Amino acid sequence: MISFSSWSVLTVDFLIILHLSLAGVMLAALLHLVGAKWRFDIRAISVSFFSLYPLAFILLLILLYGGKLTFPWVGSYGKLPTWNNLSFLATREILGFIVVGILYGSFVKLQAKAESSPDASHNFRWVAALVPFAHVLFCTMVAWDFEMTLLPNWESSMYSIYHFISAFGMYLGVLVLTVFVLDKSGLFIKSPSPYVYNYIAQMMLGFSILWVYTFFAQYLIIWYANFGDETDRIFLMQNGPYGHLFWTFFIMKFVFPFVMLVFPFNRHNPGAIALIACSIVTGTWIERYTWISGTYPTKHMPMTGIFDIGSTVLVFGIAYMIMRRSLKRNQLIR
Amino acid sequence: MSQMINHDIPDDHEIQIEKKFIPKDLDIDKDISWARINKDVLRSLDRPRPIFWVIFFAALALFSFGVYCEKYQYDNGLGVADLNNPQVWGLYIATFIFWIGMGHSGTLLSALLHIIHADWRKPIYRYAEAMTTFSLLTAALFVLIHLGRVWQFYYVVAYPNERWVWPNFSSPLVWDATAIGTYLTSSLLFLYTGMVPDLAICRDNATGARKKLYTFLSLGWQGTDRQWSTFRVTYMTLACFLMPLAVSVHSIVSTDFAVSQNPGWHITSFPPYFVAGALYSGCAVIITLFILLRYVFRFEAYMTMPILNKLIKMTFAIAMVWNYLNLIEYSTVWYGDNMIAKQQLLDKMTGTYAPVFWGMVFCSTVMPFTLLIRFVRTHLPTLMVVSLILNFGMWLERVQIITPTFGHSQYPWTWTSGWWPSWVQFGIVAGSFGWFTMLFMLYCKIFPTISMYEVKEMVHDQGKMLKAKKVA
Repeated sequence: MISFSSWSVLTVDFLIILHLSLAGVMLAALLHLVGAKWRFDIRAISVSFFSLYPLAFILLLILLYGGKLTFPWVGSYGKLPTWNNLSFLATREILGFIVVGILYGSFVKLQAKAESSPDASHNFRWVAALVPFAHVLFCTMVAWDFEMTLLPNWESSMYSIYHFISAFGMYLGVLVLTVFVLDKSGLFIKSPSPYVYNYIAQMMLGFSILWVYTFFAQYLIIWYANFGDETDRIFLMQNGPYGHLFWTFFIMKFVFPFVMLVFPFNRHNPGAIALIACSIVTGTWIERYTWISGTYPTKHMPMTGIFDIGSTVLVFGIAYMIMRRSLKRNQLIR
Repeated sequence: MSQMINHDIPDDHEIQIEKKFIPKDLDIDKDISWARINKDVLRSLDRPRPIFWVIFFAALALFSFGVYCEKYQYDNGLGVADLNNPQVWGLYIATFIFWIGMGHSGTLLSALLHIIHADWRKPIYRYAEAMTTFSLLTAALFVLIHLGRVWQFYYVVAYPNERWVWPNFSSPLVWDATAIGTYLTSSLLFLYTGMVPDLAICRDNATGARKKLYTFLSLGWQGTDRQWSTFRVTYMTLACFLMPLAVSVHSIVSTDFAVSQNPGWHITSFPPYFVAGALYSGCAVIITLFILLRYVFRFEAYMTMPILNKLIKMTFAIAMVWNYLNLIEYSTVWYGDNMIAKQQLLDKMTGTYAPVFWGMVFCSTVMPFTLLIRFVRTHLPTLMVVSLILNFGMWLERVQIITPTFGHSQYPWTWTSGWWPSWVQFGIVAGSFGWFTMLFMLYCKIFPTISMYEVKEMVHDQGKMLKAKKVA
């Protein structure tokens, strides 16, 4: 029998892959909507991450198949309304995947020919305007279904915002690492301009601060009101068996990036930015483990078993190959 | 999936084609001379349209009525306002939040847009910052008014005293007073610092008492390289400091409610919800004042339609964020299945205060979509009405946070259906609008509402950009 902690490793892998595939399109759409001039350097690489979407869908099906192993609340209808069952969850998740897939796919397709005529540009702008709505709503649903509702009777309206801001910050980290590695290894057919690092670093700083704001605002309200139902989950994570993970991700996602990025010279140094990106990405990974596994902590620590390591290596190995193929197809790398 | 982006290679040719679609209109005419900028702005200090005085005296009349109501309440006690348990805050604290919210967007947007180098802020940020200052001053009045015994306000002010009587530092009300005090001081400093070069221009062109005032306030500004360099650093530092401060202040205001155990208030998304609401109402007021000042002071050449269009887009985006936060608040109540919280939400929608709730939904959720219509965006009288409706909706939002929650709390014996504020409360609220408008219009008559030196920079930059494009 695979424990919940092990099974949650797969949930974490799914969330990471899903957010990488979504946030790329979201970034391209946002940059287009605000008319950022540096979008031309980055948008093709950014939307390439959408090629991971089918992998996320396969992982979703596996997790849904896992049933009670993935969603331990299933069956505890004494605490939950009866409509909140596995069938409804599967239906809304799959429907959401289809709608978002169609919209984001259209965005990617239209971006390719957005400059061909004013009409195409107009259509592209409309689709770009819809992407943030879809992103926020879909990510809210994912945050609720895969993390917040793991513990019946624990709800926080801030949680979804906290979740997708964290995920978007992680995406920025992955993006900067991708650009850095490809640039250094000389694989790019045409390297993005160096100022792109600075822009992404500024965004990383912004999202790091925004993340800690959402984290603290939620924490303060729960801590001060001191309802047992609410504080138990937080205190268990903070002081329980996963306490060290809790403080580690806090340092990696906020303390280190903030202390580094607040100085302008670090925001202009690609090496330093890549290092900070590593910290944010790893921190987010640990954060996801802590929120998911930490809800039902066991003696089995995540990523210490064969299933944990094997499934993660397999998922990210496939993701690496898909991304490489996508970047090559798009003639971004040699 | 990846095949879809096969042609998405950002080569130089493609970039140039797309760039053709970016700037449809310049934010400001590149041919305005610097002398004309000085002349137009300085003229606004001398000869506004006669409607200026109509607005001023109407505001004064409204303010006088508010003062009368406050005196009546002061002499007769809070009973005349119909404030009693559990309805202890009524319109006063709702309007306090409204003014605090309005006070946020001016400085916050100015600082944010300055940091990200958004040039279009330059003709409009000065009055937005002034709006912040006067909104905060107006909000502070309600802290005093709602106490009834106004002299007891010092219980929430953190100050050292020889008797070692300290306020309760674990009370969000004390955090509130401290945060707002800090924000008011910083906003005033930010407004003043940004004005110094313009005050020197006023000094050089004024006579009599005004010259003395501007000479004193311009701090001996001569526009030397050293002064400009120090000025830039100071201004940027203040902007960076104000950004997190502004966000934290309205978040702290939200904790007045959210850290309580009351079902309608104990909501973890309240801090960003309050910040988004503040920005939303503030943006709507900036649009209102944009249209007003553009007409009253003949600023058509500076407060241009492309700038207004950007402001409208920003308002729409913030309105959507606010609506999202509303949506997740209600969804969480629905999901959480807490009977009291659910009942309270249903009571808001169907009970005594249903008109307030649905009024808010209409004004703040439905009306923003009219901003997508070109006619609304370009027809200024219509836009003015829409911006006022948005503002009214945001005021209703603050009322529906407070009154229905007090009226339908945890214990049925505290429920009060059918309670409505007395005329004294409405009178004081109306007076606060008069007070704000009066102060704001006075400010516009004494100090330049458009940043002359930054508009000059903007004109220069636009000209440079166009030249570069022609060369390309």
